Amino acid sequence: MKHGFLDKYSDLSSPLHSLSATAKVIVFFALILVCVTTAPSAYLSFGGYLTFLAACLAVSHVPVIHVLRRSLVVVPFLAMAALSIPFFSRAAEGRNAVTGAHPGLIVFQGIALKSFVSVCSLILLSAITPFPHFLSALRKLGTPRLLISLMSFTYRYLFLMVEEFERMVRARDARCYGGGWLWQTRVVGRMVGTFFVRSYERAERVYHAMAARGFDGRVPVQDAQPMELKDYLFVLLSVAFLAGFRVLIAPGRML
Amino acid sequence: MKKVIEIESLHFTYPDGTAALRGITLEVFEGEKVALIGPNGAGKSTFLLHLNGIFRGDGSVRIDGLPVEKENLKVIRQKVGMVFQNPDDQLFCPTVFDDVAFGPRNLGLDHDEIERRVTESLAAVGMEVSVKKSPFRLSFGERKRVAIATVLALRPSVLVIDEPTANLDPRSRRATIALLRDLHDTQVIATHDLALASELCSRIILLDAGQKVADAPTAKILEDNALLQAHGLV
Repeated sequence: MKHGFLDKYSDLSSPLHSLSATAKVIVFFALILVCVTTAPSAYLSFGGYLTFLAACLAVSHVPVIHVLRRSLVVVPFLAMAALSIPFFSRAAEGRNAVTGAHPGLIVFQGIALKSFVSVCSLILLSAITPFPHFLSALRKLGTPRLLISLMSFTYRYLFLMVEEFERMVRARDARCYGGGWLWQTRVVGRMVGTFFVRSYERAERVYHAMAARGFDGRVPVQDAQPMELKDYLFVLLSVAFLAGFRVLIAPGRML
Repeated sequence: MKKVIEIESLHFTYPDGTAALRGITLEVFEGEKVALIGPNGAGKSTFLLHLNGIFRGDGSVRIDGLPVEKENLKVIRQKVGMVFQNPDDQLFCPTVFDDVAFGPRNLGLDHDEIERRVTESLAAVGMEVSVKKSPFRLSFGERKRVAIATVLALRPSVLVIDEPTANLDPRSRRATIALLRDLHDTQVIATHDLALASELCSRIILLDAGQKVADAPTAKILEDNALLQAHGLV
């Protein structure tokens, strides 16, 4: 199976790759926060955020097509949001007065812009930060250890479990699988049940392996790379740039 | 010679009622390499899991004179390094470094000592270049070697290995045998690979249906074709 690794391109060499994970997490999460709190009609602000993303993309040497392809993940959510447009009432009179547009369209526009910028931020962050460093940075910024270990185990075993399920599907198909929908539903249901039992037993074996190496319940997390002057400068300048577009261009308006 | 492992009348029954071990008594001396052989379902893996207290059955298990009890588990799990059959059960951290450092971190060692142990352990298994890689990017043979490194980092006095050569290609198998030969610890190796037992181990213990059937020098067991055939090993 060809694995779509979450942190593909994180082993490239660029000025952005060499920054500490903590600095990158702060900046890109700040971008998401700033973007989500910006009014949909503040086009100049969104232009600023996209310019920032484009500049980071250019400096990082991550292929644009990689980011755009992965950003397609928002399409199903946008489709659902689009279906809700006709149901918006004329309650948002203030925005209507400015653009004359249907309030549902205004909301959809906001969702589309904000989700696209947020998702591209996360995709770029994952492409310039190895996943273990990302987890260390989250820990340094105060994320509970339990959540970190859950994310770590999920990432580690996700591909293994997908491969195992694929093997079950292959074995099923090799025995002339077909028939009515009721039969197929029962088969898939039983496969899911077996898959759960196998996952549970694997979890037990992994726990034994952890206990065998002295695990006493506290999950050790690798220390995050300490921040240097270049990291502080990156955070300061980036946050100033983003905050400037948020506060000076579209002050106060959030929705 | 110093006794490193002393087992007396060990019984163990799984919660579903399966009697996995039925009165095993044996000793392992310092520096010995002992092969534990037996058909599938003999209780080899179950027995190994008693050596570091993962399972605790009825009877006596002592490691270096220490009884395998709750208050001694941390010390015992540092003395007894266990390598599991499936390396994917053993490699659960995001990178090779983290996996090898897991044991030393649990011992509370400082950062420099952890780095030193990781470097030494990976060098011992020839996997230094993979230190920053994720385990799922390694081949099966490479994962098996890293799994051994994760245990070497604890500096155990006894190495317990479950099927070290299972599913390995001939080259990886030879490399694994050479690696185990160079490690001078006391070793207990559960295996179906009689050639490995012949090359590495001075003594063989044969288990079947939860009982110790034979315990003798390697050559004597491997010459006894009738015994091996009776227990499904040839």
